[in-house]
Amino acid sequence: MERPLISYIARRAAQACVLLFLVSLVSYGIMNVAPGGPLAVYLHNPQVTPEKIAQLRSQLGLDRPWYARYTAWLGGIARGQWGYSYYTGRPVLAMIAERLPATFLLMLSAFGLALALSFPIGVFAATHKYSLADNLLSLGSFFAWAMPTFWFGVMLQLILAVRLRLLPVAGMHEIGDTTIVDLLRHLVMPAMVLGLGAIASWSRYLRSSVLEVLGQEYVRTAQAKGLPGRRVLRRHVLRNAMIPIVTLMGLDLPVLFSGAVITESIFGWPGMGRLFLSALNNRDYPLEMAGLMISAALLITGNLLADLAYAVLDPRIRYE
Amino acid sequence: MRKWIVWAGLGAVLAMGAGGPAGAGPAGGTFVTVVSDNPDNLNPYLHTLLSSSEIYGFSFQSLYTVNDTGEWQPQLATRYTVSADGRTWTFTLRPGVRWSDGEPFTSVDVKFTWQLATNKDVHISYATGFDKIASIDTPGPATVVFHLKEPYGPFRDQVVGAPIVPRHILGGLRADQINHAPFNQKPVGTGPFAVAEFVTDDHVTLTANPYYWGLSPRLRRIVVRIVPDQNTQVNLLRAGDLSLLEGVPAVRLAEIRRLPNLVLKRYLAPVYALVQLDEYGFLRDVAVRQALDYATPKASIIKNVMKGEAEPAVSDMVPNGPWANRALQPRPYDLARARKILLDRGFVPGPGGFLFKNGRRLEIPLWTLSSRPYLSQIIQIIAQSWRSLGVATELHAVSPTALFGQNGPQWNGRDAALVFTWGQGTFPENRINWHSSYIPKDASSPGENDERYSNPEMDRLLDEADRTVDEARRRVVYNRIQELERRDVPVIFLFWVVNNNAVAANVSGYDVTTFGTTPPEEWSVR
Repeated sequence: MERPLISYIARRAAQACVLLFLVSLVSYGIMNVAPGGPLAVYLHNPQVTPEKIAQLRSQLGLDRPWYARYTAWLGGIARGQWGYSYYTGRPVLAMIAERLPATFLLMLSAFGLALALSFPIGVFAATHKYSLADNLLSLGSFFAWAMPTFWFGVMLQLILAVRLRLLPVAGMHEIGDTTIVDLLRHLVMPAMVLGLGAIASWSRYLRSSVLEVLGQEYVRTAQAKGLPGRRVLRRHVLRNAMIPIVTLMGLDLPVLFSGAVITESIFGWPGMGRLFLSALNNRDYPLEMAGLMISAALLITGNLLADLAYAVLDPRIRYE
Repeated sequence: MRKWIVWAGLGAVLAMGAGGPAGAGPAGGTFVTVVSDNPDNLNPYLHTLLSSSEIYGFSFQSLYTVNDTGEWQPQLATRYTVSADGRTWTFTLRPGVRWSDGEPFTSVDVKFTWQLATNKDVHISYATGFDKIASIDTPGPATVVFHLKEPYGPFRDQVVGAPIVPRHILGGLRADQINHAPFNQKPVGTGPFAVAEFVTDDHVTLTANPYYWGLSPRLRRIVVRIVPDQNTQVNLLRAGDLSLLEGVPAVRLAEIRRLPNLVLKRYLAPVYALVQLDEYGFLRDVAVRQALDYATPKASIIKNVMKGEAEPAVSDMVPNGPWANRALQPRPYDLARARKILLDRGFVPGPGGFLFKNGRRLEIPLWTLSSRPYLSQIIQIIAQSWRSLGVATELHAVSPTALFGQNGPQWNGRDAALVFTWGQGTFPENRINWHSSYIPKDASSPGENDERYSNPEMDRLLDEADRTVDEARRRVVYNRIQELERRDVPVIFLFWVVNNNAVAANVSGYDVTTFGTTPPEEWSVR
């Protein structure tokens, strides 16, 4: 690796540490001023007496000021201890780890579907500007973008699962069936719902980006040199047009980890989105903080990777 | 070519296994049901969520239990006696009972359950009544003697009916180990089914307990799926993937009724909807609360929002249960009478048509839970009526933590009305709701009497109900308590919830009432 690149990465890593510390401080503070608290769920349980709530508050350390709890939490993180969920009593990292495979599988499938389809759609629309096909694709993209996930998901269930009985309604496996085929059948609908939104947005970005590059002088020069259209498109247009898409992908990296709340809920997919939603609703501070910190770290890493990818795509970009 | 491969692959996945179940429920021997929340903890003393108790209910048993007709019947005990002073309860345990791991169940397990429930270092969420026990003797493996600190009427409801947990698994653990024990995800009980697999946020599988002391379960296994979305739950039912869906939403009932292969079981749930009136300013006046009760269109809410799937409420005792005061009637909807009460109390009409007293507007915001759409509809109907009475009302729909938590509307020192449902159950004990000692002192102190209702007579009656073991005498006390609830309106009782459970036609032996279901060992799937 080149020396300037190493020092660039080192500088960004140092900035990331400071940023993560600030994120943790602000997040913890906001969490504590938000209405409610971890014991609110007990307050609405007729079986739990006020005496028990007082006891639980003391046991969970919630009777201490928030900055004292924050310091204890930070100390735990420094020692590699992420703590236990207030609700399940289980280690936070174990709860996250057991959901990672399902989350990655769903999000990568949707990511792959979006990659595979948005590129040909975006490029085709740009190279056939204002044609009937371009207009139809634009209309389709806007429709897909505007369609609410919960509605599309339920419609898919009604048609493909309830009426036609082609796919299972929800879940990740039939009980007792752990085959790949069964998994794929369960994956189709949630991946389609998630992928469609990304296809719509990425193809629109790509279309405008390709159109912009097509008007550049170096493209005209390449065409004037007599290079075949396909080669011009692949070597000179696509490579440059990909920079904004790479930025989008970098920003989407944490989503691979944090999952998709609505899609997971509709399809009963045991992913990270549902875990963090329940942590937020229950004010399960240790779990909430772990989710926030890992997402923030991935966002920073995604941005760094996107910045590094620029240099690969465009040799004019240099790191100092 | 590549596109063709993608679509061909998708087609192949669709085709494989297509034409699934025909809508008659899952295959024989397996009973499939669904819950909305991932169970937080399957240890009966550490859990918070209803979904947890729905699952551990298959695995744990108590000394005595209430059957589906509301009668107490022996379970892990066969008989009991109570001393004349009501302080000594002696139980004879059922012989030959084993835990689902094969270990014998004995009196030391009963004693350990008390020790666990009162262990201050364990994150216990349920221990009501256990603190009334002074000591427990176990003169033999089949005899347990409870010595109470004082006569305690609710002892049977709270302790005799509480789940017993195994000493041989938890007894050797420290408190912090119990809080994080694997037992909490895969417990061992004496019930007809034992947890075999718990896949977080996906499903829990229970298999028949080979050591079960009672009738051998007819089912091979019970699968409880975890699916948060209610529309998806209904779609699972329509696709024939469920044997049972509890609480079909009222708006989907007509659609479900039309489906063949499904049977609806309608029953009154021991859950009521209420308007909690937080007494800070004007709401401290009983007359104002009574006026609001008159101005709350309960019948219209039952008809238009609940689509008739609710019954009128007048107190917190389930109307078809043994404790309801049947002489009481709900206040009728009468806006003219409500307005007269307020004018008699010195309120005068002012700007905007609102009522004022001492220069201050009668202002009562309505709050509810955003997660339940029907509650949002209810507060809109109430607000419309209250506004026509002259009450300024803003509407708020928020999360449970925001509604009940420390910084929520209950703590801002202003009048507020909170609409939600309360799972009262079929037992009469309601001390924590109405006794003035349960009024929270400040935002950080606990207390279930959030409405801040205080009445010395009510306090005295609640104390008396606790001390009274004789059932007939207790009934008289609770009748008077209900009269005070109606007269003083600490909360406005809206309705009792009627549930509809959809059951696949190939299920037999399953039934449900206000008091519970038929025993799961009697359920079967053809």
